Amino acid sequence: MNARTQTDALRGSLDLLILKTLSLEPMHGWGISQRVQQSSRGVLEVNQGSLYPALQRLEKEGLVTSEWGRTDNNRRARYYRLTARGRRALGEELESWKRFAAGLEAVLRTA
Amino acid sequence: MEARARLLFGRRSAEARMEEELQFHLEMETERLVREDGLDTKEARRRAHVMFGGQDSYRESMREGRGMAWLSGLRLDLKLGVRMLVKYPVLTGASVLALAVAVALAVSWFEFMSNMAVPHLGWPDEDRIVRIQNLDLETAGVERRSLHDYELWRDQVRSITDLSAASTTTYTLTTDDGLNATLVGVRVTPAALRLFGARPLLGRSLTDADYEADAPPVVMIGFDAWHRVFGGDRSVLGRVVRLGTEHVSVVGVMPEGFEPPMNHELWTPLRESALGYERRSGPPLSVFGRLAPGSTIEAAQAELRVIGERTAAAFPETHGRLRPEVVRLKSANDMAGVAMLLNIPFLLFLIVVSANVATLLFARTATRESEIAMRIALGASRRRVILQLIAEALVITSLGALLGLAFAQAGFGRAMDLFWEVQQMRPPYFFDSELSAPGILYVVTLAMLGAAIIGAIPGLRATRRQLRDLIGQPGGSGMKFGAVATVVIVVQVALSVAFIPVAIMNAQELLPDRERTPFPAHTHLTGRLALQPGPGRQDRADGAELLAEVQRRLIAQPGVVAATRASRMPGFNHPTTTVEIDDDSIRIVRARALAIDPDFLDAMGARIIAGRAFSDTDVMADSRVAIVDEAWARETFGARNAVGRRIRFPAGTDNQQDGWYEIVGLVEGMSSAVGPGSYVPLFHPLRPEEHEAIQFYLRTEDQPAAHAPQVHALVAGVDPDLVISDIATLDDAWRPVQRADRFFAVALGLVGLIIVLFALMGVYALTSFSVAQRTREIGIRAALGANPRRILASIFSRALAQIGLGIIAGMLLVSLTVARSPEGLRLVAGVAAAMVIVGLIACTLPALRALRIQPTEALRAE
Repeated sequence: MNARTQTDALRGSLDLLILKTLSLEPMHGWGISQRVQQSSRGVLEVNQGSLYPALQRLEKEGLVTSEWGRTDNNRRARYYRLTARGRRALGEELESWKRFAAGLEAVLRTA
Repeated sequence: MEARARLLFGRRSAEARMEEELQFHLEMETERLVREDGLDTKEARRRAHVMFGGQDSYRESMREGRGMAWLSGLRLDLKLGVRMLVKYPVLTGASVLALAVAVALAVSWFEFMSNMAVPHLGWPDEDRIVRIQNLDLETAGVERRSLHDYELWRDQVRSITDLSAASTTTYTLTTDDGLNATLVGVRVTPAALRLFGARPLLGRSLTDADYEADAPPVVMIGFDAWHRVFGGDRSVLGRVVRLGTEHVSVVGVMPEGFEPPMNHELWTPLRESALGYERRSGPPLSVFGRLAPGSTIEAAQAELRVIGERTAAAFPETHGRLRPEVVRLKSANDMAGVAMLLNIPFLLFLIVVSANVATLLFARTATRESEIAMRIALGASRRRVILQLIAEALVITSLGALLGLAFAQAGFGRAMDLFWEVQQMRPPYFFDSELSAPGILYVVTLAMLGAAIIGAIPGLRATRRQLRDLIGQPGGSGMKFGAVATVVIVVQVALSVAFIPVAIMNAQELLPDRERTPFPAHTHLTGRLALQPGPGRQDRADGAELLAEVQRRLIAQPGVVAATRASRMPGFNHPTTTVEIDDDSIRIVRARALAIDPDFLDAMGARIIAGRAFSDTDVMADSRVAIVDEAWARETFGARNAVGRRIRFPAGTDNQQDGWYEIVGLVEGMSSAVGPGSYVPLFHPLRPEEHEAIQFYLRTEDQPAAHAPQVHALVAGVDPDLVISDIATLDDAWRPVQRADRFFAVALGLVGLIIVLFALMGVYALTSFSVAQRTREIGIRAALGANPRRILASIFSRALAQIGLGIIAGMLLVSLTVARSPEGLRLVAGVAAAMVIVGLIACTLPALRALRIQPTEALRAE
């Protein structure tokens, strides 16, 4: 997978990745980017410049909320947390993603 | 929703948060790179920045996400706007000045209207104050002699509380040390002072005990009067003064600015009871009250209608055609709605000025159309481009609005002072000649409106064109500029030709007429004389005799050459009346009339040139004769003899008189004696009993001002109920009217000058621009060997056709009015000539330039 296709695949699913990551625990922006990279074992890399606009959009839609907090080494950071609506939206997104992925796999198998 | 609001409104904090998150992210990333990849800090920081990506585009997309992108765009637009304005200083200066005058006029009128229509009275709960008045269905007037009705309403009406009556009287107040002052006072019922929210500065307010039949008479005085008459002496409480003939003691002094119901300076009990009067007689009253808690104006009106109908049925003789009516005091004269409508002409003026500025900017915008088309091609939205033009216009209109506010701030107070002086009135105590917050808000709205007009009109046109048109069509104007320019030039010229002469003629009429024979106004003393019955006394029947006695004694004064009287001071707020003329058929004209003593014309130095003067027998009520001004007679009757013809003041007019008046004489030279201001052509004999006040004139041998104290003493000696006011030399008395005339002439002249300036600039800009547009065509024709003279002829003939069409349209507009008089025609011709000259000059420069250029250059010209 070269860098270009990776970004393209990510663009549609960035919201899903953010929501999924935040469903584990509240996190700051840098943390989200690190977590995505770690849990995908380095395959997925979040474009850092587009992470924050996405977070802002999700906040505007009421799926996440944010507040100032302290990191372990006592730095001030903006922590994002999933709202109840965000949790519902994550469920729906996951369902449709699974359907999409299953469909895609079916096509790839027959081809 | 809350998150959205926070993002939108917490702009500053959102920016700060954005930066802080960015910094946090970069630091964390830098530390990770140092920790995990073993880079040195500097390299790690660089890598972190690279990995984050473009920070400016990050900021942009964050702002865009907040819906704030337009804000940074606007800032840029405004900066561009300022730059454009500096680049075209003459255009900017003229536009700003014109907008400023339009804004100043609009806001001044707005302030005047809001002051009059929605005054801030300062009474408690003033929005619920109502006035009750008896409407006379027959005359459509108001019957104010309503003592009987007041008592009935007070006892029966439930939906209005604190029902009170007030009756205005002018008093001569005399102190025990002989000081005299004329004060406008009001007699009020006990509830009135509660209604006004009276809290005395010194002493006490009127109490119920003051209304007992045997209570000693008392008075409260206003702050200004306290200072004027008593020098602000606190020992004034308890002092006994004379009001007319009655001795009363001062019990209270009211605080500064407390003058309800309308500029009153004395408050004293209204003790009259209906028992002492017939129905529809007694003192004229204003009846006020406050809507009871929970009640509405409709409920009050319904309640009064029932009472009114009952009264009408019980006393058909007097009350058959009277109907009580309840109106809110704050819109008592139905002005609130009308006032807002009256702002429209000023708005229209502003729109016309804005459209003119738009025209000028239009030519400029047209030169920028390649730039605009290019921007659209590069992805700017149409909205974006129009917004930029509006932002540029906003810079102009904001400057205009600021300057306009400055004009209004400086001029409004002065204009109002003059206005009240000419009205011979003190401004209502609640009248505020400072600019108000709503007024400033109004100006801000006007600036936005102006910017929308100025920016949107050229913007919409300029952006309609797509880049492919620009590329596809070689040269020339893509905005179809020619057709638009023709229409605009024609309209511009037509309006100038039509209205500039009107403005000039109006201004001339207001300016002092130098050809008029000077009237020796400095040898005359004038003043107003009225009979004011003292408190608690009936109207007097002997008024005419008292006034005649004053007249006899005035003439007997040493140094007095002549004494004469008129119904009023001409020139001040003098209404025109409807006059029916019995001429073959009956015609109706409007003119001003003045009732005068038989010797008035003679005393004022006028001459009878046909017929006869008034005689003493003409004053008898059954003799109806008139003398008219010779110039008016010529205009009205033409060559025919006016003497012997009849005129009539029809019923229902303010000057209502019965029967026909026969014209017995023509007078010459009255206009100078009547003084500045309005032209008065009709004179009829004065019958003192028909007027509330009489204007007297004295001609003296020496200094007339020196006679003023004697006149005061003499009048007081005839009867204490006689009140004299506004005594001054005729010179001084005329001065306010002269000042007002000059002021309005200057204001009108300024507006006219701006229209002229604009028209000339507009014609110049449009003509020279449309010639410049043809540079390419002209260059090619010249290159192909066309005769330069023929090219010039074609250019000039088009411009002249446009201007000529405008002149014809303008003359059609005024063919029935201004252009009928020779002077008007001269002015119209002058303006037309100026337009032609400016048009020719405007053609010459670009045409010569076009002829001089090389064909290759012409081909490149866009």
